[in-house]
Amino acid sequence: MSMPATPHSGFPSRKTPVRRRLFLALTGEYFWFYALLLPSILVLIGVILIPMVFAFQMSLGNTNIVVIGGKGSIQSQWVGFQNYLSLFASPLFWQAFRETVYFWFVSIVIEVTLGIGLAVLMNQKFWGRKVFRLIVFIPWAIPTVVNSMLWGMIFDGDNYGALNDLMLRLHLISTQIVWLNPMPVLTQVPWLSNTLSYLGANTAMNAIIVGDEWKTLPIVAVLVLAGLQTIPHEYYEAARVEGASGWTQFRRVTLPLLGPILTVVLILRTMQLLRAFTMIFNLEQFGLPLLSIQAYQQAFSFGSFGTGSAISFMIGIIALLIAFVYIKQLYKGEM
Amino acid sequence: MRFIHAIKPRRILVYLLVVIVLFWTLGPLYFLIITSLKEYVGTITYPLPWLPRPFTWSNYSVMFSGYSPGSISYRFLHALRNSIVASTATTLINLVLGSSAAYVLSRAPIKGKNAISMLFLASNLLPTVALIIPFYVLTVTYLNGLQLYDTNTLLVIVYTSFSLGLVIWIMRGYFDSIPIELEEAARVDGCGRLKALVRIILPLTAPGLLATGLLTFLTSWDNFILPLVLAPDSSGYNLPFFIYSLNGQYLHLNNQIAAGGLLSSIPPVLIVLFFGKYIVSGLTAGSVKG
Repeated sequence: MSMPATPHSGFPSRKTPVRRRLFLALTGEYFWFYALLLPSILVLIGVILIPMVFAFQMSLGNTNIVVIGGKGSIQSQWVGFQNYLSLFASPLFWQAFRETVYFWFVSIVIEVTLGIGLAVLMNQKFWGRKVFRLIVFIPWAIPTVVNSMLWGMIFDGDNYGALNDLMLRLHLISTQIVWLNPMPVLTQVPWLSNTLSYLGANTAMNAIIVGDEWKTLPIVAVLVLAGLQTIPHEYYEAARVEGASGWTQFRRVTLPLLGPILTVVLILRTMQLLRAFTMIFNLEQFGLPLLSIQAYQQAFSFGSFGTGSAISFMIGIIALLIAFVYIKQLYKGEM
Repeated sequence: MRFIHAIKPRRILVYLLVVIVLFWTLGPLYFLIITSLKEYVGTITYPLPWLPRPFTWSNYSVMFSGYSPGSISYRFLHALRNSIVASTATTLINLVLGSSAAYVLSRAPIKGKNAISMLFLASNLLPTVALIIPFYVLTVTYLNGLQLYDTNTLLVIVYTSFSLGLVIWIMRGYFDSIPIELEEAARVDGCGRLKALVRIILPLTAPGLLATGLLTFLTSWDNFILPLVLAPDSSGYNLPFFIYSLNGQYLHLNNQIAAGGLLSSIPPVLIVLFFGKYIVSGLTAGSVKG
């Protein structure tokens, strides 16, 4: 991207000697630029970069933290990449990995299909549309912990759990189901059930996805709706003149023009799903060992900060890779 | 007439879907509200009463029944205070630091400012889980002398670092949209750079400031994992952690959890109802323009 030509061209160039440049930075026209930018850079270095490097350093050792009377000391024995190697060799890690991918994939599919559907619905003309849009948005505002507790009550395994109560009354089931137990699904078809279990599907996981979507579908739908509203009305009129049906209009006009905002929504949601922790921890403690849960458990229940750091460092790297794709997409025109 | 005839099934479908979505959205909320108005026995009987029976206000009144140490009301009020202080402080710090940096990244002819913007954006996309372990270890070991563990100050510092990237990213888009001539005109009239920024430019970016401020407030209000690890003991915990701690190992006082949960949802729900429009336009402006 080219810089706009500045009216005050007293800015030091590369040829200016370092001391002169420093002098100009501190006294001249550009003092405020540096002064205003510096605090944020310091925050970035101090609270993001240094901890990230430190996590990597801890992951290369058998790291123990001993806290006595509020004073902690760190003991670390260098083991190289041993923590990573034993993680890659452990089936539990790969189970956690598959469960994380399952959680991500199913949530994304639901969000894209139902999210777009809900946005299209909110874009229709009907009586009370304004109020409807407000109501739909409410669940997004409910704090995640509250949402977790709420769905914990709904999926409660006793017969007074809200879902069990409703299904028992309607005679859909004869005894209560412990929804939040990680049981295999579709047990009538053994091979399918086994495959799904291998991929990370179980009743608890599916229940948590449902509860999570109650909170997150609204923001996806509202963002997509904002995208829908930027599509000029003339496009649809033109399509109608050409004789395109509603579905063809949607496929040929709406979807392509929603492209940019869908990419953004997809990648943002992917990042948020990677950090999903609160709901699973609240409802299952360590019962559903997604990667984030495992990192927490290794460090704070088992005390092996080396392994915990190794997992969290890998989560960080995956996130940065996705972030890189995202940023490239955003700056596509400029780079 | 033919027109109406052709449109009708479609309208029926629309209303049908609207009703389904309303059930899906309001059903769980209704359940939370009636649970908060029940006595405990009403939450563990089958068949479950779908009206608040036996009715009581006590789940709410117990949250405001004085400040005697150790009581549930003490912990609620303490968590409420912590949440308000930490979220407000984070929001203000973020707005000051973030809009300053965004202004520079939008205006200054500094080499590599795009790279710096991208670094900030990437920092925002980094999951909390990836940094929680080093935060904890640094706080209790090397930085132990600062006595930050289990304090609101620590939470504010950490929240700030997690949302600063988003603020800078969105605000830069808003600054880019303001013509540079406006600022130059002010400076020709004798305004200093800082004065021009505060007097002329900032008021024009008010919608952006509002959107980013509210987003920051909402994310800090919602945070759970940071207090869980960094402030779980006695003084630094916030509302989500308080609600989590209501969930005992043997006794699930669902009615109390529901009441506390609804109380802690009031500020974010009000924000979304009144300012949701600004938040959405901030998010889409930031994400589409970059």
